[in-house]
Amino acid sequence: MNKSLHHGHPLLRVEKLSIQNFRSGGEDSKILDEISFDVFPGEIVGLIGESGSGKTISSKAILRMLPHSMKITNGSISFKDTDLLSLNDRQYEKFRGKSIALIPQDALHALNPVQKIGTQVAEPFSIHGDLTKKEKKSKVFELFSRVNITNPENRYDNYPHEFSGGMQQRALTASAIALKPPLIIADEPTTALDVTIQARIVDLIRNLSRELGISFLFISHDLGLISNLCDRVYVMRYGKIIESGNTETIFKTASHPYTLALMNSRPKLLENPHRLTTIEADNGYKRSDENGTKAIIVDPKAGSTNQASRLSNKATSNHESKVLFEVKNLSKTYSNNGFFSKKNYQKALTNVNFKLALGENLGIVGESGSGKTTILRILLKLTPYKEGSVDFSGKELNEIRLEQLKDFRRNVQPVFQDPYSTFNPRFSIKSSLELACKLSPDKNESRVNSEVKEMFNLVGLDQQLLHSFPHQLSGGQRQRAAIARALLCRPKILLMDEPTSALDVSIQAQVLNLIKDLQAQFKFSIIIVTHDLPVVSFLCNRILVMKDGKVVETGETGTIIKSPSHDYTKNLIQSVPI
Amino acid sequence: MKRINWKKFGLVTFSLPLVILIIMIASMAEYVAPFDPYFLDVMVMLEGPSEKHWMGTDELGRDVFSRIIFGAQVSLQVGVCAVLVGLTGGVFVGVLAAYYGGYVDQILMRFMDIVFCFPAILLAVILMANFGTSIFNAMLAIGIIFIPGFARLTRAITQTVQRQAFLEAAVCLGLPGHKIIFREILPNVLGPLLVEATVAFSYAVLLESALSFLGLGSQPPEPSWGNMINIGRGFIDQAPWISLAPGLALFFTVFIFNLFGDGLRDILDPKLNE
Repeated sequence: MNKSLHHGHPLLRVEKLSIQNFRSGGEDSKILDEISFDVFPGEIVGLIGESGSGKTISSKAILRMLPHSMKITNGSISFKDTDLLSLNDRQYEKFRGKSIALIPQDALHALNPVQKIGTQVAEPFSIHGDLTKKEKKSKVFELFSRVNITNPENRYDNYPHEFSGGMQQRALTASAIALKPPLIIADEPTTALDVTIQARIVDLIRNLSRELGISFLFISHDLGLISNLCDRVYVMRYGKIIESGNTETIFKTASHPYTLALMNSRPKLLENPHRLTTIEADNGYKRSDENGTKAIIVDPKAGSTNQASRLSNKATSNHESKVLFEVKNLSKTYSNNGFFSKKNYQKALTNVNFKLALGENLGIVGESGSGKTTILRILLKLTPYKEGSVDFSGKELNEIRLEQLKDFRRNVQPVFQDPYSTFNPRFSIKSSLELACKLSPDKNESRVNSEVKEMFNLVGLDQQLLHSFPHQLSGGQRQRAAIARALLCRPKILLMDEPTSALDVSIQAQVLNLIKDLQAQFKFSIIIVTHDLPVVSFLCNRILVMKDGKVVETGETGTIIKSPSHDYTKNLIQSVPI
Repeated sequence: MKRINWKKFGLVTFSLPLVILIIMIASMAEYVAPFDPYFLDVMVMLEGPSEKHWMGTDELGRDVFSRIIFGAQVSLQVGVCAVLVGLTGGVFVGVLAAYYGGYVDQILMRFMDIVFCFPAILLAVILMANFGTSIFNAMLAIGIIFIPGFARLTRAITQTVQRQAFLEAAVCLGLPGHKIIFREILPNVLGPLLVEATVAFSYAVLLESALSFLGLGSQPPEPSWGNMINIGRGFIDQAPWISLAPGLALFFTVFIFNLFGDGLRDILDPKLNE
């Protein structure tokens, strides 16, 4: 730890904090195991780890918002000279908001949908002060301009749904800095946001810290983000801090294998290895392993820049004649057709053109609302279209019907973003997979059975999980199963909508590797829709950049990333952390 | 082996025997009831609960307990049948409206609104005027009244289910429409409907009493819990047991059916498996 840099007292000191979860009926488990960290005045400290590492629980312990089943069994939390654990609830309320504030993760759910934004931002003043209504209002205007919410007078009376995701997060930030607390805990404040907006929020946090001298405890699973923003980092895993130090030192000379693996498991913009490093943990030694070292098995095939990908690229060029999808002048307008209401039109796509050949991988990038998901849904024949044409193997999509439709469905398979709703909760995984398998003609029971089992193996899932229900699997497992379901139809093309954005970095690496491996085996094309450029750069050889329903740039991935021509693409590339 | 959580069977193991008991008593009323429910004994008119007549006697000296047991036949029949009619019709309309959307949805749901506006009694009167008074027609009328409620609930749940990725995945697999409805949508809709159904059951039993009061349901002297409560109204200050006893019978039956419905929902939900 780099205490030499900091003179004087830490603002927040957490010492040997242990938290235990007491479950009724189940076994008790240790959530945090003697973690210690401090935050000095004016500093931005990062707490990094994957889901289940205990980073959010640590922040909740500081704010005294732990779930009832969890109890602090050991350790201390002190703020300046006050021992926070010794305060009663009444005394603690004075701290919350005034001395320690929180920027929560999910902005939309953190704001009350039926209250005006202005009122909500002014709430800290109402709780911790006695300003008049007018004074509060002018203070809120001040805060709004501080967090770059333009047009504060008009924005004051808006409701949360009238704000975009980034604006909502700004409003929450405004509320957190309202009383100029010395410490703000930011719990994954940018996870739900687009990259460019994420970059702006990060800038905002940095400026606030500099100008107002506020310390931040920044919690994130995103290494890139932390490396851009934080002065010091603590890496957490399984409720322990396994490594800590200056951001630069950690990123240059990380010693713990987990930290290293975490850094390498994230795809990069340029020069990706053929396979990403993965971190695999066996539940058996999750907690017993003292340093967490044993739980890391670096993928043996990782890091080797390989021939196969180049070969497959070559193969692609041979196949170029065989076009799978050809989209010409595709436009899509949404309208709400109410019985009595006036028709409202919204243009989602304007004149989109592209081609996809067999064996080719196309990445569609853009921010939310740019129309990328609409394209995917049209290609899946889930959303109808009227303007322009989409050809699948030479047939116009609107004219595919009946028997041909069955064929089309088998050949074009989706993988959706949300791993939680991708399987029917009422059926076991096995039954859902069998359904997919049975749709191909002439298959008897035993063949279906063996094919499902084989595919389950191929996507790296344990046979025992076959009989479990969707909610019993983790996000990564579900996404693997979803890929298995899609591949059981032996499709020619896989359309994926942000398949890894809901997953942890290390799980993302596993899934991305899996997609690559399976592609080598089954030779299907991919269209992947994402806001994550590095993922595209890892998987795809061609890229399509979208903004406001239009294609702004398209071409070879490498060329576009090295020399983007459109301003928006440049902006997008610059916003990618690291 | 999959571990079975017996905890979630708790409600059903408690309520199922009671449900069976209620049905058995109702179906074997002749053997269970201590008295003939139609036998008038003027010597014991409006007599309170005693060792002989457990729940007292009514204004004509009939044994209230025996009449409750016989009344259970009518009331259970009406309740169950009306709910089945409502549930079937409602699920059918609701799923179709949500699944096809657009004009189908508009037309079906506006039609449901019209049915919803119809007072149950008026509908029953129309039905009886055409087909004559019978307990069957009463059931049908009550069932039809329930359709819009079930239809709206089904439509709302179906719409949420439709937005989920698994449904789109099923479409992309090329599953035909009827399979999507039966395999993907219905299992997810039934849970909440089951709870609604138990509530509708009690409402049906009460509605039947209102209909019999107007002479449109079961006809006196045939006992049903509804008309017993109604008749007892006139004697509520002298002999409260005449209304109270069937009221309590209704209360317990509904309570047990509700528990059973809740328990069934728990069992059907795989999420509550651990």
